[in-house]
Amino acid sequence: MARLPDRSSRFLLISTFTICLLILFIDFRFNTFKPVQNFYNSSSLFIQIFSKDFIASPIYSSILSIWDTKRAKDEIQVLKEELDKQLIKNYVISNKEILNRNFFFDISNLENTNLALLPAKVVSFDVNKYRCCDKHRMFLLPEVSTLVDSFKVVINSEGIIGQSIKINRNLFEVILLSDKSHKIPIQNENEFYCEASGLGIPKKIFCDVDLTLEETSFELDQQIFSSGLGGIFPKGIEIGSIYEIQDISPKEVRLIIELNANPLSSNYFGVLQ
Amino acid sequence: MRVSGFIFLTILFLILSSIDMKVNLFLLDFFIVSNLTYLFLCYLCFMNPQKINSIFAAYIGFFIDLHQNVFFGLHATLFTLTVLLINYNYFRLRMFSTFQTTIAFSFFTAFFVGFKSILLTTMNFQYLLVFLSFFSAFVSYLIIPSLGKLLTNKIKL
Repeated sequence: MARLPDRSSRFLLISTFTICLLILFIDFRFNTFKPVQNFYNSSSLFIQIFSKDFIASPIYSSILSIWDTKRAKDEIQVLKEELDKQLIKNYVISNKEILNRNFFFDISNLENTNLALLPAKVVSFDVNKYRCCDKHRMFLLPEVSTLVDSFKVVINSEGIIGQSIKINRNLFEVILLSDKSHKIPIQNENEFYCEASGLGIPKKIFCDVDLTLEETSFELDQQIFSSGLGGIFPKGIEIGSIYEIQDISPKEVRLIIELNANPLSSNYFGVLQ
Repeated sequence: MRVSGFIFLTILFLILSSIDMKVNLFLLDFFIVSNLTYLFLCYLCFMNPQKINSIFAAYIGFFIDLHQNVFFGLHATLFTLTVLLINYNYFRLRMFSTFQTTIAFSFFTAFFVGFKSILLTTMNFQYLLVFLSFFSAFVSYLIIPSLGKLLTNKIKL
């Protein structure tokens, strides 16, 4: 048996490793430590926002005010945010007819009714993890302090980007369409239906098609729409187009779909309440 | 280890983890990942096996799991395993030259990246990433000992 350095305990080494492994298995299998991670994320985001709003920003703005550039920068920022918001609204208006076909949306009179579109700003989005790993999540802060429930559709000016997961009154998580554990029912113009899963690659989802069930033909750049079957996403919204068709077996193909909406394109998103 | 040293090392590891995350954002296009945190732990454990023990590795690992928002216990398990390996091969590694030690730790890093990728990028596992991480770790480890000496000089581990 290998000699250990002085005062090192073999029992301590192995037992710590076993406990860590057990914790990893429990979290991997049952998500047991999700509340701990949520608590840590909420706390760190609170500290970030607090320190940014009450410590960093005042110092920063006081320095900037010397050269009088702060006003111009703020104006640009506000205009950009307003533009993002307007683009989201435009997206909703341009898809009004489609959205109105769905019983769970009522935005027929956008000007007079209280628009059920809640603007939210990104507070944390790990772009690194979005590009490298399967887990594609972001944390948003609603503009109006309100509790955003789970399973609400989150959009930007380019289309649907994902759905919400409730955390607390000031914060909610968004699971993106490309997240490995996310599924969205889709269809094409030829009434072909499928449940697409996130591929774990930015802007990509996939759908496995059993060719023995029905005769269907696919071609690249064919448009793909949401089918609305899950009751979460509205029916008929264009979500992307076929990017690649892979043959898994002689009787099965995998459609790789490239999504229209890029979550990196703006800092503002809308939640369809 | 004193409490101040303990806190200092915790903050140091969190900073290194943040640097890794920021650097990886740019390097990922070239299939390279930075693992300064892991190499720093290897270095500390190799230099002070009595003080940088498995409990410390697990503690730092859990912190990094929370910081990087990955599966709870992923870094803790891999860090503990690394400490275990270094402790079990301590006298063998002590006899190695610096070059050989660097190669050994680069191998550890490649396995670390591989295990992490299996759990975090299950559907897009890339062997090239694991392969290149060996070389990136080799290059990174050239600066780690001097960085480690500079940073841990004050706390006297």
